[in-house]
Amino acid sequence: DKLLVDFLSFLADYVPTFPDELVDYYAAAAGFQCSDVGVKRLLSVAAQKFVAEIASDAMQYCKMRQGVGGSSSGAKQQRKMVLSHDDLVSALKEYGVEMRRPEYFADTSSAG
Amino acid sequence: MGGGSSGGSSSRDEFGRIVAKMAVAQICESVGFHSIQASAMETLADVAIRYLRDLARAAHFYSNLAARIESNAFDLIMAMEDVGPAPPAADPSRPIARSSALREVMRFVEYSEEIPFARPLPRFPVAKKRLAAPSFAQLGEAPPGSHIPSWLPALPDPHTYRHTPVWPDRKREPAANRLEQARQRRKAESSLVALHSRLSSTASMVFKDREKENSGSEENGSGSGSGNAFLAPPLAAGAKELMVVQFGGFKDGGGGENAGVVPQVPSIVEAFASVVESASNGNGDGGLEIQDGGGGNENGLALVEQSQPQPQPQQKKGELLESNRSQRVVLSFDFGGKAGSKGVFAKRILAASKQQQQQQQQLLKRQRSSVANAEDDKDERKKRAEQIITQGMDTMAAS
Repeated sequence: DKLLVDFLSFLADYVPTFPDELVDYYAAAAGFQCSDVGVKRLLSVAAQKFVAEIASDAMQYCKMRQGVGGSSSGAKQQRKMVLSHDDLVSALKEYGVEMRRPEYFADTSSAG
Repeated sequence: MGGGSSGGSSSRDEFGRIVAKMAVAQICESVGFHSIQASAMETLADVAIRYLRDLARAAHFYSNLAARIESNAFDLIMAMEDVGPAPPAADPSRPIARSSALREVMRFVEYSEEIPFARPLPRFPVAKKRLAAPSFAQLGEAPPGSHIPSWLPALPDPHTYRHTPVWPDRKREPAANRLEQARQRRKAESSLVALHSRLSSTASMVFKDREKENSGSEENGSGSGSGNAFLAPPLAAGAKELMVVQFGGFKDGGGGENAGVVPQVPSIVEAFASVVESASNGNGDGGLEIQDGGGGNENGLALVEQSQPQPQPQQKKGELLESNRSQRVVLSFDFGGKAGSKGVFAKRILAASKQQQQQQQQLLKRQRSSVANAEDDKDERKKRAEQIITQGMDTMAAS
């Protein structure tokens, strides 16, 4: 319990990436009502952790795709790490979020 | 899952969505990505929002389950355990503070850097402050009806729901009005003068023709044709209708000046009256009337020019006026010519060849005389115009 209390007070000073106003908005949309700032920050931090995990997994996939090779590919890696949609889909799959994206959209004459 | 995951009003959600996108991009940057695909960013932002909402919803459910409306940390931790991966050993006796989910989060916070959001944010959504309608008591009004308490908002003002006519706001001083009147009078007078001059010029032309007509009509009254072939005896009733057609042509030629003054009514009435005249068989009355009309015409013209009504001429003028109104003088005057032209057209249509030829000859002659007829028609119209002019001038003089 003490741990929890300490942690919550710690969070009161911590600034999470998701701003408080955003969290308040979505929490209110869900019906979440809390007067304690620490609890809200805890929520925000949990979401941040979630996203960070997904991003790191996607990074792994990206590195795998680029391949570990010679200096040129190494340079490429360092130069340009782009989170692509495919990497994200693979990463999300592990978390139970299944996504499928169409190859191309032919809704306008200019596209596709 | 994907773009449409956030149900409800996406338009209201827009701001939150954009902010989430920014936060997600910051997180990706901290992980090590240089850039991110747009679709990937949107997807990740959607996932993050969904996660946030689900967590909050689950925490809310847990607090409700415990008969509370306000959630606390335990509710949230339990929600985190629900959402996150299952703990290796789900032990209900284990205190919640030692939950794996919480520990993971704590670990995360410890090890990861603090990434504050890039921009300051206002509190949103911003609710517009609506000005409340003032109550009866605030306005100091007494509510209509004793059943309405005074602390209720006041009833709207009657001008908001009652439709009243709008009068054009013409603020004109009386002096401006008088000036305007004088200007209009001057305009009317100038136009009348112009018309009058035109009439007098043509009137002098018609005088000679009129005298010819008079002689011709007298002869008609006496019943003998003296070389004016167009003064033939009246014809059958069927021919009358055609008269209207031809007369229309004359009217256009003759009534050009006075077309504006005299409407088309005279032609129709003239046609009908000519029918009447022909029915009465063109007796001496017509001739007499013609004479009178002729005399009256001359007098009438003279009268108008002088604009000095004398008793006798005035009587004649009165006769003229009356006759013009009754159309009798006009019709009898033109009787001969009209009858002749009527006859021409009737016989044409009835298709008697010899008669046609004769009639054609007569027609030619009548056409020659029709000019005079036209001028006679002109005269009639001029008379009418002059009547109107004099009336107008009288009113002008009076006002």
